Amino acid sequence: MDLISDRGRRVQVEELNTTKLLAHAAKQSRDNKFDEVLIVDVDAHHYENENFGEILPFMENEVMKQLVMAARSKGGRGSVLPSTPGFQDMGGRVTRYPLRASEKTNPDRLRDAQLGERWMDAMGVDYSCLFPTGMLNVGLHPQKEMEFELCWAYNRWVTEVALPQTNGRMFTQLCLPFSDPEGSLRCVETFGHRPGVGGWMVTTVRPKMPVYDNAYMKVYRAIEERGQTLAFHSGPSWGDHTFQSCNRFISAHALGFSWYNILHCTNWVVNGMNERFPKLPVIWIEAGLAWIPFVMQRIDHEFMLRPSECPLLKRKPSEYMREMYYSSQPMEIQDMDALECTFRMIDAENTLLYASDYPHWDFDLPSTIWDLPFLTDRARHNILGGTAHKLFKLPPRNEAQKQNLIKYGNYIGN
Amino acid sequence: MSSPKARAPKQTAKSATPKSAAKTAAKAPAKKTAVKKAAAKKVAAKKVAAKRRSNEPVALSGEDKVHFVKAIWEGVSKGGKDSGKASAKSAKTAKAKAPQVEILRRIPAAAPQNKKQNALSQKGLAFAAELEAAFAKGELEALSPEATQALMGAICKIYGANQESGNKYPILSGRMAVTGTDVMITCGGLLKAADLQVFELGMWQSWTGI
Amino acid sequence: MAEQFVGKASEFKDGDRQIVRIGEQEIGIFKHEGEFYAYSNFCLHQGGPACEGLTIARVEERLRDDKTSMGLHFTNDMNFVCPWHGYEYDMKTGEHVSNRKIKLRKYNIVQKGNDVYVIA
Repeated sequence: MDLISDRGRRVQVEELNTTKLLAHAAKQSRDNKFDEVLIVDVDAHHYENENFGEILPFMENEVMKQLVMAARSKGGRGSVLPSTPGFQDMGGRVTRYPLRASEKTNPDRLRDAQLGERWMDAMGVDYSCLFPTGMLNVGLHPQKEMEFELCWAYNRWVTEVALPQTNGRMFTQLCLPFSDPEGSLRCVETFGHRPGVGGWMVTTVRPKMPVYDNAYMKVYRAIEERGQTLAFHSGPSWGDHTFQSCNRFISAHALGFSWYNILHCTNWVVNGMNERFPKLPVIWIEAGLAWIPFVMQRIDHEFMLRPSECPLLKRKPSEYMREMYYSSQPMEIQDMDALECTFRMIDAENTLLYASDYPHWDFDLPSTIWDLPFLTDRARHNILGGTAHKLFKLPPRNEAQKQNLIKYGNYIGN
Repeated sequence: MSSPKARAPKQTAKSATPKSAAKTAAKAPAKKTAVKKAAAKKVAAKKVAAKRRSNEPVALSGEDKVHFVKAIWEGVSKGGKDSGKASAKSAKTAKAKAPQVEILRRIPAAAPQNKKQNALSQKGLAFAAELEAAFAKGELEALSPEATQALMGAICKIYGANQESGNKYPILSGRMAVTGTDVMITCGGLLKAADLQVFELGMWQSWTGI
Repeated sequence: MAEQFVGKASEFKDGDRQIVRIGEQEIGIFKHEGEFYAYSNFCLHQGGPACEGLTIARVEERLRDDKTSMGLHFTNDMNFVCPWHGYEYDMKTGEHVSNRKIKLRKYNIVQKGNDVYVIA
């Protein structure tokens, strides 16, 4: 296939085949015997807009449904989800973006499931948590009714159509329509018990998001009671006024992903949410790791000076942060001493969860964790899957994985 | 779609001559230097492995870390110059038998765009080819000064107008087309003919960005 | 190190590439502006197929003497880009364009008549 390069020059590359593209990842997996290690990817993606034809009919409200169905029809001039400018594909340099449509799959089975198996098998991943892509912007939609409708339809499609076709290899943390606390609770109560639902995801790209608002307490309680997770998934929003001085996508992207988690994590901790819901596992997703020591130090510092503003806290904010979970990607492997310090500060052995973020442009392979020189074997196994096994109750896929889970004290049964 | 050539996987390149095949076999086992170089990294790896077994945090020396970072830079390439394990492995393989060259894939440049040339362009291409052929034979007077001036003037006008109107393309098809000296002499001649100084060119380029 | 025959020079047009495996090594062979270049096909970042992605001209930001920017422009120098994450390497040296210390292993190419060999 030809791709357009500089000045309109055409460059030929092979059509996309995920297995072939990731052949070197498969080699790493074989060399490291990843089949003996339970590997759980807590953040992988699909492009749900490619399935909108199936998803949107699940919307409940007929008027809302009419709006989006007409917008998508031939000649329709509307758009379903808010979008933000950006160049994730780096001008075509990350070829799996422009070539995505060229990959062949079997028409009899959900394409996303087949593509998912290809990358999971290549990387040595046993299970992955399927997150959407465009829906990460749903919090920017000005209509909270539409946000609810889209989340509702997506959650129905994921649990009724998608997951049953993944041979149990994919699970989900479903989308909470966070602008609508009542709607969020309804989602938890309706879909919480369905197979493959490990928890709930709040997309943090929002103009205003008071995670501490009283309206959400019943939602958190409902999730905690079900023994499920609450994940905050970050993203970039170049259009946000905070990032409008960024004249390059790299700046808006590098800061944006960390920024939204910095903001909401700070509010979460300062308002004593960990004291209120001590058994609710909270995961901060796709913001990298470098921001965590920064926030820990900043809030600890001010907490000592202004304790009266956060009287619910019985310990230093960083101690609560050390008890929450973090997804590993995109891991900043730049200064090994700094990374080692970060791992120590977040108690990575017990709180860090491997994530690939595949197929997005800055994905991480399991070897990014496996090859770190300062980790113990226990930490390696815990981060790649042991901790996620306990959180999401995912069974080992072979005896060697089970023995490793037992060896490192993670096994909770099949 | 890839061309059939691009999709031909796992071909084996056949040795061109029996002589080169013999040479391949003779030179293959030499890998000792790489193995030696990797010794330091092995020490670091052993330390890590020992600590891993005991489940204690690993205290690495500064040197160990340098080797690790080098290994990261080398990637998982088994051919990396500091990749001790890999080098040792390949050395063993090489002793057993000469490595085979397996062609994994061929990726051709883009399929040629059969862009239709209009009649004048076709004439231009043919004329340029004739001139190149005459020049190759050493015929420096193949084109009279008057003809050269007329052509150069016309090309200057049409190229300049295209650039200004936004239809940008490089003035030469590739870097190999002419020598640096040719470019210097021609640019100098053009500036002189138009009574322009080099600093004026620099200033104009700064202002316009063209 | 030995000379390994990888193909006929006449089979390579400018811009063509070939990926070969020799023992444990994977090598990308490029023909660019009439010259052959050969590099390890394992990206120095996470091990992606460094030689199999897009080739694209290097980008530079041009400054005027007063340090004001004239914006981003393509130059005539060529890079090749690892398709996994976008690591960009200099076609002529195999160095990462923003950190020249990060350098893909370069293999020498020998041409004998119409036969092309890589020293590996």
